[in-house]
Amino acid sequence: MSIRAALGQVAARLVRSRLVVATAGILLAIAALAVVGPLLSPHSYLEADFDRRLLAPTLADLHLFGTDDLGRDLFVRCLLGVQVTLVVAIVASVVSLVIGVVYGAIAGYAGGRVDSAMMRLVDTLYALPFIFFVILLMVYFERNFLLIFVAIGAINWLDMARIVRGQTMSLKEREFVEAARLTGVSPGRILFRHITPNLMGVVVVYVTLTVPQAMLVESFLSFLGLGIQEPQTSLGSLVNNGVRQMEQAPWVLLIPASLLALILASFNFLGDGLRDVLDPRSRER
Amino acid sequence: MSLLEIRDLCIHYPGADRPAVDGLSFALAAGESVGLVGESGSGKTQTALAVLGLLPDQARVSGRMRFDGKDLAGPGAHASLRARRIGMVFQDPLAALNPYLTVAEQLGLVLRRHRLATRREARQRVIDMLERIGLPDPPRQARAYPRELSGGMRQRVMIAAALAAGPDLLIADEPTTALDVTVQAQILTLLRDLRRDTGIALLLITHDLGIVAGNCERLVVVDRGRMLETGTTKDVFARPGHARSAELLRAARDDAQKAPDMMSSERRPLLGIHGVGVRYSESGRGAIWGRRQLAAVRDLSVRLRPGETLGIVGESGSGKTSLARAVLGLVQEMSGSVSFLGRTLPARLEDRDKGLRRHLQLVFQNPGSSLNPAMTAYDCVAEPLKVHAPELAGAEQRARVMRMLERVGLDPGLEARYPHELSGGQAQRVAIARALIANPSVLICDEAVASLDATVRQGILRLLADEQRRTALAILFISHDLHVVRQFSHRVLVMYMGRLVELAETSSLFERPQHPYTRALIDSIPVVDPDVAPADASIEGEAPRMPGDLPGCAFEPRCRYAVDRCSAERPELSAGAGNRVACHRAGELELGARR
Amino acid sequence: MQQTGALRFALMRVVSAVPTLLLVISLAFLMMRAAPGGPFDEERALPAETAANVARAYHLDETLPQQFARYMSGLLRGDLGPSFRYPDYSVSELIGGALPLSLQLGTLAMLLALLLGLAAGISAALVRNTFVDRVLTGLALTGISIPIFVIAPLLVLVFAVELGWLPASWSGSGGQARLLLPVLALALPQVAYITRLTRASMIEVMESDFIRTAKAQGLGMPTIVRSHALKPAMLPLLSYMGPAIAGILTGSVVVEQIFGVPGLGQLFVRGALNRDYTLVLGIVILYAALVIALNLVVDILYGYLDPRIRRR
Repeated sequence: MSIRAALGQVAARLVRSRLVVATAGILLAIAALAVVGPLLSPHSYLEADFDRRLLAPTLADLHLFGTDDLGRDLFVRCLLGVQVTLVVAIVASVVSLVIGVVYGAIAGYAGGRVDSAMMRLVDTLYALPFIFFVILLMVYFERNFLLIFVAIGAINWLDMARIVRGQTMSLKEREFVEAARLTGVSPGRILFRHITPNLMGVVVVYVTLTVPQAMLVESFLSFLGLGIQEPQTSLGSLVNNGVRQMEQAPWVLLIPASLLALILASFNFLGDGLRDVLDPRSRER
Repeated sequence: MSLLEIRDLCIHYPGADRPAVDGLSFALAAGESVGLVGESGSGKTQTALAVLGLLPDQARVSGRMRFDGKDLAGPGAHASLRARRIGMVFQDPLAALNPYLTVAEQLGLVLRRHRLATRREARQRVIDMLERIGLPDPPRQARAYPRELSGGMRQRVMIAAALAAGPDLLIADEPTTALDVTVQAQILTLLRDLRRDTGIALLLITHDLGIVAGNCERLVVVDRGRMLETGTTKDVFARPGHARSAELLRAARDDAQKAPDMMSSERRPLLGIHGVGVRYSESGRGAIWGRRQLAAVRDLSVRLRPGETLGIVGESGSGKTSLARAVLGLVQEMSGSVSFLGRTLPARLEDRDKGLRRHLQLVFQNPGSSLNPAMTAYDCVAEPLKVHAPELAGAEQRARVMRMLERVGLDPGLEARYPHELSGGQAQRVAIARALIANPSVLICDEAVASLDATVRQGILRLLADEQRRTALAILFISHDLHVVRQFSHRVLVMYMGRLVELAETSSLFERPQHPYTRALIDSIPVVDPDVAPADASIEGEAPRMPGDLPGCAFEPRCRYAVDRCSAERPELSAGAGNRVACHRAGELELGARR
Repeated sequence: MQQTGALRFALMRVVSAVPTLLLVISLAFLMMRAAPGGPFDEERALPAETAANVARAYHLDETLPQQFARYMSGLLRGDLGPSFRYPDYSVSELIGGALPLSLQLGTLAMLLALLLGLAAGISAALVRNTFVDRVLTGLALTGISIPIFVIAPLLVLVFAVELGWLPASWSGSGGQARLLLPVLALALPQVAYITRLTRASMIEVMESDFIRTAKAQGLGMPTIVRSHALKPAMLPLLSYMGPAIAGILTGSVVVEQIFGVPGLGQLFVRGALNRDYTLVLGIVILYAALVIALNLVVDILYGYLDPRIRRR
């Protein structure tokens, strides 16, 4: 009963925040378009037409975004890129969320030696320029989707673990947890009823901020040609391709680049808005 | 002519349901000392900030303020007054001083700004100033960062800064609220001395009518942004002109009442504390090699009977809370033992079974942090019931929770509220209900009324007294506030640096204290009577924060009666009837009551 | 006492950096060894004898511990072994040739980012909630949302292709002007982050009680900002320097690629695409060492600047 009421309150505050509503709307619209758009278009992402290379956006033949250097329809390829980029980023974020929350909650709740050993590892990993290790991995091993998820998740879980651990630590020391222990509430119930509900806000906020980070890593790798491989595509590879054509056909660069920036900006603004609503510390400022 | 004149001051914040200050008018003459008195939310601080033009930008201010004949309207009017004509001292000196600058750097900026010293002279001038406000070893404190000073020293630094440019008026906003009662007495003594020496006017903002009685010639009583009355302190204390100010006065004097009678004749101890010691090991961030040990409680024994309230007093850091936590099984390392009904309790809470745990319950100082922000009042109170009586049917459980809410004086309509939607007093009642529903034998109140206004505090104390009468509840009542302890406790235990220094019946302790430290604590309480001249602080300094193991009496460095033996040999607690006291000179000293 | 405290703190950080560095090196090395297939597998099959010769030349015939020991002892002498793809050069020579240019780019970008970011962040905080503040915050949030591999080509498109003010490529021109666009591209994302961070921490500090005290003491705004607010507001920025350095290193990989700058980043990408194991390994170790060392410097500086860490 109380959790539902709490969620209701949060939802009401979220709806009142115009920033949150607007950015969430934009993201949903883009995601819907990415799923539905390719079904409506007469073209497929594979179909090359060498007579129609680097066409400017046109209604004729429904090349809404024009075509690329192989004469493939840019509209469908961009939407495919959005799909791939979003899916990779979201799945990778979920991976980092699960690892980070479990790791952080265990370290924070256990405390003492266990905690300091676990956090020493995180600190060590933190000092590494991880992206280069990911590239190293991509060089040594076959490039595949799974590896990209693992690589991105491996970078992002560190932040989540640190945040969740810090929150758990401070919640565990809070007086209401002590009061519960004194009345004989079991550790499991304390974790479930007293700590987790107070952890949710922060986790939600940081997931919104993790998704754009994961997108950046994926599109960075794809841009370098070390991520998603042709004929599959992602926004990063599309931008990379666009850079090569930008002098003759700037739209091949500008369209996927703006899509990428729009999605990233929406996530960042959404995260900012959510933090204002959910994270009491930032509201105090 | 008035030095400061305020007429019809209104301060309003957009979105607030009522003005923070609503039509306040008063005047203050040169050299005069005026108390601005009220409970929290009365608009006292807002008024002070308005005089100096320090309100946040969104505040809407109207009305007239004049200082020394000059109108304070318009931008820039305040700037020339700050520090030069009006000095200000804030409540929490730790927050009010810059943690990144040394004392010398901060005071030096003030001196240079007002052309009182060049960069080169500043250091020496700062040391002179620190000397004047009675800081020990000024050259050393000048190099220190605020964090490295004690609370009293920080507030002295704040006062030095406020007085640096020789203002005509000092505004002090709750200058002693964050300090121990002994240090409060020192700071008030310092303010009286400064006023005597310089003739500076004082606007003293406080919730404590005792402080006003001894330090202000006139007072202005405010409540919820409105002025209730103003007049000389003597007149208002003798014949309050407003029902609400009479209520405030009654609450303040209630505090000074005598202890109630013992309710139970049961002599068998309920709770026994046997030679308990608590040590914390502290690991600083820079310390690679080893951790240092810090003794919070040392070898303390005392017993608690059913229906008895045992007050525990002492300055902050004296080990009151650590003792409570040891009893509850919340400390990592403890020596000695705690027994309940003659059975020794496991040292750690985790090793005590549920049935045992419910007998010892705790009420914290701040309900804002002791109630789960994600749980409603109902859920908070119902949880112990779910743990201890899971067999109860839903309807029966609900009935019991609602009965308990009613018993602690809460409107049942508040059951669905979250803690932040309750007032401080209401939230504390929820916390008490949560403790009582487990049907405990011992209730530990750790500063449970410290954060509440005096009128609200009286209600909570009445509630606790009723519960005690009803169930023979034993209460360990920890407080820094001797007023409240005197009113509420049957016996009082005085702690100093982790040790028990005196234990006695309340009346005996307050009327015939045997330990010089107890005497000093009692002397430090401001008397709620303008006809009693305020006593100057009777002990100097503050208890060290990092006590080492002294061979003798821990209080010896601050004790004015100390003899050679005191530093060489530790005094044992005396046995027998009457006050039990740990002092070599207890028998020979005549510390008799001052009042 | 204050000095020994800080010294001990510094010493502790240095000591704790060593195992991190060792971990990096072993991890990178082991990953290379664990990779399926060797660097020459993709080529058409070599005659068995040649393959054996190649393997011997690169010490691929030794056991793993032997190889690791050989690599580590070389590393201590600054020798990162021969390149797999450019047999005439050692990895150290290749890196040595490319490093100075990348260092120059990175340092300039960092300085520019700090200069612009601090100025924008402090101004925005001081005129909080005004039009100027909203524009600056909006720009900054947009800035962190545009990846560097989008900013860089956009700069080329606008300033080189459309306006023709600046050279688009490195090789086609000489002089210092060709540094301008790469430095700008590298700096811009960091400008956005630093602006946001500076603004937030400056606002927090300006709302603190001790600033109110300083106002009550009659201090003027310039003195308050300079003497009271600046240092506490800058401390969170100091802890951002680590991520900023990593960000600039990552960015340089893209920027050098796009502008054709013959620096370490380009060498790295080329090595990665060519599967030049030793080269990539060498550069990763160098990057890691650089990041760890700079983080170390930042940590120690923090210890010196924050009295709350220094003495407790």
